[in-house]
Amino acid sequence: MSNATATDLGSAERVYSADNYLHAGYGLRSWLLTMDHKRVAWLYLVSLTVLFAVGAISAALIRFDLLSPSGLLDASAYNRAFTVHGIVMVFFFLVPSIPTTFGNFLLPLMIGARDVAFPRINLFSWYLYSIGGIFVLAALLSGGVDTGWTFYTPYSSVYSNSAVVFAVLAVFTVGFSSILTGLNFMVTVHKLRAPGLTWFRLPLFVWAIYGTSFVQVLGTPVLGLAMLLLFLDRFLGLAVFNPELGGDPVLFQHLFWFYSHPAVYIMILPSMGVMSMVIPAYAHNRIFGYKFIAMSTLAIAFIGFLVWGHHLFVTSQSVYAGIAFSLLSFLVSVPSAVKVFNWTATLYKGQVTYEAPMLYAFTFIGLFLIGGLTGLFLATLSADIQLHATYFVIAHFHYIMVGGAVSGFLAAAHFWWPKMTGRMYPEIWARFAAVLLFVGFNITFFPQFMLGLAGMPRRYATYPVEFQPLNILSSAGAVVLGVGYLLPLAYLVWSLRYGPKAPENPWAAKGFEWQTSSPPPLHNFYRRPVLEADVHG
Amino acid sequence: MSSMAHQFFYLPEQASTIAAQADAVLIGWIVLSVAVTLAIVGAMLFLGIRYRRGARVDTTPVDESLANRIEVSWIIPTAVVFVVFFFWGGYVYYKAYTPPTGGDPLAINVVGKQWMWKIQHSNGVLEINELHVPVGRKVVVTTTSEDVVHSFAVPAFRVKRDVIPGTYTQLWFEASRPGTYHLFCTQYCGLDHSRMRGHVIAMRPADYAAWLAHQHPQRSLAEQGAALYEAYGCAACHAPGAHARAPALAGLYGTRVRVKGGGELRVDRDYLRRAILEPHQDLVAGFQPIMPSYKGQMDESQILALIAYLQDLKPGRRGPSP
Repeated sequence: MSNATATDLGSAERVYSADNYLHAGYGLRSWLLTMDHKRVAWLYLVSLTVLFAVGAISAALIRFDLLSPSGLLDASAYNRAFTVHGIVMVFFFLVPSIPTTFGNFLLPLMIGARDVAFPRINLFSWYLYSIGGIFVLAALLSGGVDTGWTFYTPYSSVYSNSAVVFAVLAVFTVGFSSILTGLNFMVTVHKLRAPGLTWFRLPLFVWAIYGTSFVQVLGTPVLGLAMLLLFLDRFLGLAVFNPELGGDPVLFQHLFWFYSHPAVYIMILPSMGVMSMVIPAYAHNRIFGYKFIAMSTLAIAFIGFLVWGHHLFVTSQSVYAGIAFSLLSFLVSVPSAVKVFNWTATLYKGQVTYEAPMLYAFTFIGLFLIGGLTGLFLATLSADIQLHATYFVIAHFHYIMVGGAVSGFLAAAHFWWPKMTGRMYPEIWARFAAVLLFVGFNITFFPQFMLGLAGMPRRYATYPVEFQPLNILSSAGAVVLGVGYLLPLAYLVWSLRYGPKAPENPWAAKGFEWQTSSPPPLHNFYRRPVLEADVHG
Repeated sequence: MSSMAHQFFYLPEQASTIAAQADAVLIGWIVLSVAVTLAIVGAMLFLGIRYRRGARVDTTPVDESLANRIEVSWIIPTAVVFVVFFFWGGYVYYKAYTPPTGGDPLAINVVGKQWMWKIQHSNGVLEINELHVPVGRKVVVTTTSEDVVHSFAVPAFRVKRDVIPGTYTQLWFEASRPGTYHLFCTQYCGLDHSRMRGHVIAMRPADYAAWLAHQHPQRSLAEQGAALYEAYGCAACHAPGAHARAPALAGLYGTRVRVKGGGELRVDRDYLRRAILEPHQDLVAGFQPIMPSYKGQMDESQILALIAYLQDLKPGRRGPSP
């Protein structure tokens, strides 16, 4: 590990300059063998976009099938579509999305370091991610997987006739990428902060990445273990989850959700961190309740490990265990509510402007609020009997994951785009896309709440005819949503070449990353960044 | 809750005694959520417009002790609302998931398999993907699966419970309104999961009796079990007498037995199922492990019939004879 703290390199010209990390090398080798956290971020951004496209195409297939009650695809294709959609979107987009891209790019900048603690491991994590992605493609090419992203046993371990092996290898491999990234970031935050940058002066995005890393490091090994046991069950006839040989299928559900519920917080905490940066930047105001937001991050990361049983309220799990898990699930919601209140209060006495990242932030608050409230329905025991495994659950977690996490991702992409590329995105188009996404998202997913209340089960390739009108509405919304995703892709790529050159700090925002040129030099800073007196404002 | 409110919120018909109570919790949440969403989004828009850049308003920062009091002022009410819904929902859940003890409930067995529901009535009537029940009588459903995890869900009754291979799960309901209602499998179970659907037909007691009279079951479930008991030669060892090599079965159900290696177990359905399939586990103390496993010899429906026979077998009185 080198001396990673920024050192005084003199006060060079700090507008767009040729002397930046993008000009540190041009060949393929300079990217594929890079040790620069900023370039690793780009490697992830490109591969995430490719896998997101795979997930989005499978989502389009799902919405196409459900236009008709008898299903426009055959059941086997439909089952493969929702399985790939789930596996890709959860393990290959949402979990790694913000930490590996904006986390990678910004964490060292925000704490005044030259790189992450372990640059080689950082690159290795990307290779693991890519190998995992190749396993997903292998699963697709060998006929697809039909277990659902949840891999419930004994269907996945005994009965399914699909490419379970590749899917399990994909999830297993990408898990190591996640663990190593988490470990790397935790060490970075502990060891490489600039002098004077104490914990309670850290940007809230750093807190969010830190809390997320904690969950990644502690939770992911359990998923790996569950995948390994599933693999041994399926291929070596071990019977940990096979009831015919004395195993317990529900044990798999416990192990799976022991990771996969905390994983929900891996997916949403980084977006919350983005909100805590974007909202004060455009409210031009100090963040309200800094310490409450920071501590709520740790509370969510910790309590998040104690709520997995709420996925098992309608299994053979004891009624009393259900009651305990219900109470803990309510408890974990309090810190999330605290964040929403604080973000709203940050507008108070500010001077609010409405650039695209702020529109995404407003979208985030509104949709996350609905997603969070409906999550409480599901934590309520009696309501969960009714709503479990219906479209209500689908709508709920898409409000969190798409309305929340993806909105956060897009807010971050626009907010830090000038810093990452040295170019401004086209503001008008960006605002239009933000509004379009909000509208398309709601038309797609709000009807699914109604379908769920009416009792329509999830993972149904065919369905009773009375559910058709709302399904058609939902599929129509998905078209708008799809356009809303393609727009940013188009104009952001366009801006790489044609966007106006970005100044050092286009938003007049606070934080070390805005004290260096856009894009930053290879070693991040020309001179030691200055700790502002009111660092969170 | 008004009897029409559930329709406004897209909820299915309320056709069981628990439905209105379950809906009340849910409608409570919906109303509260709409109010909270309007309040927060309203606050966001109000503050966002009032404090827009260029507006002539006071922007001196909020004093820290006031800020802390504001934090407390939203944490406490949030927590109070959560506690109320936790108890309310927990109470209804407990009620919905605790099978009635008295009152002569109708016992139904449900065996799920890819991709159909096999339904056994205790009088021996067998149904596939259809379940006929009388209105006004409690029905206790015992479920298990031949293969993967399924889930037995009747939205109009507001009941749902996973159907898990290797174990018995239970649910209960009391239909309150005659009609034909969806029966869904709600746990993904492979290729034709979405076709693993059926109907529950709730009938007036008189109609139900007439339906039952037309079914002509050959033998009751316990009688079918007795025939299996005979066919598999269980009596060779389990017949009571001085030379019995295995525990006497009459009156055994519901009692507690000492098992080898210490400890006591209650003889329930799960124990009997295990004793048939994996007899060397939890062997009754004082007996030798000589019983062969009947795994692969009987399917889940037959095991349930055998257990029904063993439940009926009382000491001093032979159960239904084979």
